[in-house]
Amino acid sequence: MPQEMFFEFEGVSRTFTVRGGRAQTFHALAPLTCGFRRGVSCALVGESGSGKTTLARLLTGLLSPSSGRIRIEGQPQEQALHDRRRPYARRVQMVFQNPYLSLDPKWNIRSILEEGLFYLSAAERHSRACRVLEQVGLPAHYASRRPSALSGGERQRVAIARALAVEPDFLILDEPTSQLDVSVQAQILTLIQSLKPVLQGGILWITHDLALAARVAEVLLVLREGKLVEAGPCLEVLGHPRETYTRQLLASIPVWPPRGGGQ
Amino acid sequence: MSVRRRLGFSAAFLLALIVAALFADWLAPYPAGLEHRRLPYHPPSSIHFFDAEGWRGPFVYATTMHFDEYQRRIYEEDLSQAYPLRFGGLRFVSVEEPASLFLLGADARGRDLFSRILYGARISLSLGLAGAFLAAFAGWAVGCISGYYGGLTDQVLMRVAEFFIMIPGFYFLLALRSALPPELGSWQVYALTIGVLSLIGWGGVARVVRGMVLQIRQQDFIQAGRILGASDLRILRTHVFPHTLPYLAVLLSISVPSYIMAESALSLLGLGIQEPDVSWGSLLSDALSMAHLHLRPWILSPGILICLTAWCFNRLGDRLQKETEA
Amino acid sequence: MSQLIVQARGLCLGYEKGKVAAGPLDLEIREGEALGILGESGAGKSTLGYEILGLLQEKGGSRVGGDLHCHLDPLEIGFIPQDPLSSLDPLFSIGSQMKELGADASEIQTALRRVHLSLDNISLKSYPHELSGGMRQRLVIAMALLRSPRLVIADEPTSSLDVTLQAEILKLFREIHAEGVAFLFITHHVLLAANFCDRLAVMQAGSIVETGTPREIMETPRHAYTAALVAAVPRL
Repeated sequence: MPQEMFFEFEGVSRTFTVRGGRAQTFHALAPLTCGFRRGVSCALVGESGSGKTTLARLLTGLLSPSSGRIRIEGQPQEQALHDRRRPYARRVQMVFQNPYLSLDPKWNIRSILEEGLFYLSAAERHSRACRVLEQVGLPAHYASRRPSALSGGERQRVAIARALAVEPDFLILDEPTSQLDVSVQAQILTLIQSLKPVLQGGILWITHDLALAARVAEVLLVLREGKLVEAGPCLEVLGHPRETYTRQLLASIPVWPPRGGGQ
Repeated sequence: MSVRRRLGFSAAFLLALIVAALFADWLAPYPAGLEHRRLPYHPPSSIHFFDAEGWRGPFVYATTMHFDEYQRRIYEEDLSQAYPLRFGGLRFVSVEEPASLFLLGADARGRDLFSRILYGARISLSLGLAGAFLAAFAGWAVGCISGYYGGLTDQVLMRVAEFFIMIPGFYFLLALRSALPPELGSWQVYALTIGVLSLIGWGGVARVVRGMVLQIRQQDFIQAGRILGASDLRILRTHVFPHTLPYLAVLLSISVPSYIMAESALSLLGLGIQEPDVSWGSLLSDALSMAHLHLRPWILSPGILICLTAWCFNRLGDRLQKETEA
Repeated sequence: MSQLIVQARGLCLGYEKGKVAAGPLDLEIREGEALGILGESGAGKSTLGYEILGLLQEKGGSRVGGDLHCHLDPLEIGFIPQDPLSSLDPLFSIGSQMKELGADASEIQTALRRVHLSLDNISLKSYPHELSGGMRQRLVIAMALLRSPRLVIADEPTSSLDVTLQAEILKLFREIHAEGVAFLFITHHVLLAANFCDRLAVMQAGSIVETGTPREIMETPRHAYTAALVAAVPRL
C-alpha cells in the first residue's frame, strides 16, 4: 500500500566543519521536519547558502544527516540505502545543474545512458537506452556521439534520460535550466512536465527562480540560511506570502509590466 | 594508421628494439657467452663487398693479432681467403671459422659486443618496463584509494608514500642490495632489482594520482554515477581510471628510461645482474677505464644504446601526451 | 534629442578569418540613455561590447568591416565585467587595484560611497577573495565609476548574483543612471533589461533583429525571434 508521504524529515539537520585556521561549524541546514507528499511536484526556492543543495544531497543519500531521521516511503533511509531488494538508485534520481559537467566527457551517450543499468542484460540495456533517448526527444543516432558534440540543451536532455533509464519513483532537479538559454529552458520544462505521470513518487525542483517555480510546482518551500521560512501551495505562497523574506524575494524579481509604471 | 605515423620514429625504434631482443637467439651472430680467446678487443669487423675481381657480396677476412712497438694490439686481415657472410640457418647472419663477425667489436675475452647487446636488451628492457609498470600500478592504486576515500586512509597512505619519496633512491638501492647476500641466483637478482626499483618509484606516482583523483571525485558525473548506484570500484574503473590514463601513459614513457638507467647503474657497480647473464649496465662495467675511449671506443656502444633508448622513450612520452590531450 | 556618443554603421566583427561573429550592426547610443543589448549565448553581444571598449583585439577578435564612431574619450567609459572574481587580480589588495586606475584617495572614497560600500565594512587592504559576492560586484561597479564616466558598459553584471542582490544592484544602476550616465547593458535576462533600460536591441546570431522601447519589445514584438524570446520567459 503506497504511503501518503514519499519522504519524511524528522528534525533533519546538516552541519559541516570548515577546516583551516580555526575549525568552524557551518550550519547548512537547521533541524527540519516536513514531508513530501507522494506524486506532488515541489519547488525548493532559496538563494545561495540557503541549504537547498544540501537538502537535495540528503535526499539522494550522498550525504547523511548530522541529526534527525529521513524516511523514504516509511522506511528509514539508512536501511533503504543498503536494501538489496529495492536499490535506492531505482527509487531516487537526480539531474544536475550544469550539463557541461554532469556527463563524463570520455564516454559516449549510450554508455552514459546505460550507466545505471548494470543489473540488466546487454540487450535490455540497449533497448532501454533507445527508449529513454526517444522519450527525451533526441534522435537515436546520438547514442554513438560524445557529450562534446551536443549543445547544452541536448546534454541536459541526456542527463534527464540517464536518470529516467533506471525508472525512478522520485526525481530531483537541481537548477536544471539555469545554465541554458531562455528558449531552450522552455523546452526542458515542458519535457519534464510531460514526465510527471511516470514519476509516481514526485518531483523536487531546486531553483532560485520563483517564476520558474510558479510554472512547474504545486507546492513551494522557501529556504533561507538553512531554515525553512515558508511552505505551502505554490500559488498561495506567491499570491499571499506570509513571511517578510518571501515578500522580499518576490519584490526583487523583475516583472513586466514593471512595478510603479512602465516606460 | 601505422604506429610510425601516429607515434613517430621513437615508437618504431623501440618496437624494433623489443623485437630484436626477443629474437636475439636468431638475430645475434654469436651466443652471449661465446669467447674468442685469440681475439680480445677486436675492433668492429670490416665488411667488404668488392675484391680484385669485382662484386662478391658481403664477406670478411680472417684476422690475426700482433703487438706493435708500443704494446698496442693490431689486428691484420689475412687477404688470402674471403669468408662470405651466410644468411639464414640457425642464426640470421654468421660466418665460418676462423673468420669472425664482430659488428660492434669484441670485449676483453673476445665476446661479440653486438650479440651481447642484443641479449642484454632482454634484461635491461624487461627490467625497466617491469619496474616502471609495477611502480605505476602500485602508485596508481594507492593514489586512487587515497584520493577517493580520503580521511584517515588518505593521511596514512600519503605519509607512507612520502617516506619512500624522501629516501634518496639510488643510495637506498645500493644499501638494500648490499644488505643481501651477493651470491643470489640470477632470477632472484632480477626479481629483487625490479622490486627495489618499484619501491623507490611508486611514491611519486601515488601523490600525483591522488591529487588528480581528488579533483576528479568532485565532478558532477562522479556524483551522478554514485546516485545511479555504481559501486566505488566501478566508478574507479570506468570514470577515474580513463581520466588518469593520459598522465599514466606519459609517466610510463618517461620513467622507463630511469629504471633502465638505474638497473644499468646497479649492474655497473656489480650489484645488479651478474655473470653469466648480461645487461647493458654490466656491459658498461667493462668500459670503466679511460684507455677504452682512446683504444677501444666501441666498448662504449652499450652506453649509446642506453641513451638512444632513453631518448626514444621520452619522445614517445611527448607524443603520447599530445595524443591523449585530445 | 540628446547628443550621440556612440554610433556604429555596418559594423562587422569576427574572431576567425573569414567568419563574421557579429554584424553588420547599426547602433546608436545617446547621452544619458540606457541601451540594453538582449540576446542568448553566442549572439555576439559581448563581442560588440568589447569592440566599443576597444578591447576586442585582446580577446582575439577584430573589426572586419563598417565603422564605429565613439565620441567619448576612452577614460570616460566605465566597464563592469561579467565575473568580478575573475576580473580582479587576486594577488593585489583592492585599494591598490583602485589606485592603479589613477584615482586618488578622495575619488576612491566617493566611488565607494556611491555604491554603498563604506570603509567601515571593507578595508582597502583586503583582497578580492575576502569579500562576499555582493561586495565584489559593488566594488567592480565602484571601479567603473572612478573617473566619472559618461558611459558605463555592463556585461551580464548580475548573472552570478542572488535575486535580492540583483535587485539592489539594479537600484544602484538606476541611481547612477538618474545622474545622467549612459548605459550599455548587455544581458540575456529579458525582464531585467526591460525594467532598467530606455531602449532595447535584440540580437540573434550576430545581428540586431529588432530595436524598440521595452514596452514595444515586451508587448508588441515585430520579429519572430523577439516574440519567441519574450514568450519563453517564465513570469509570475
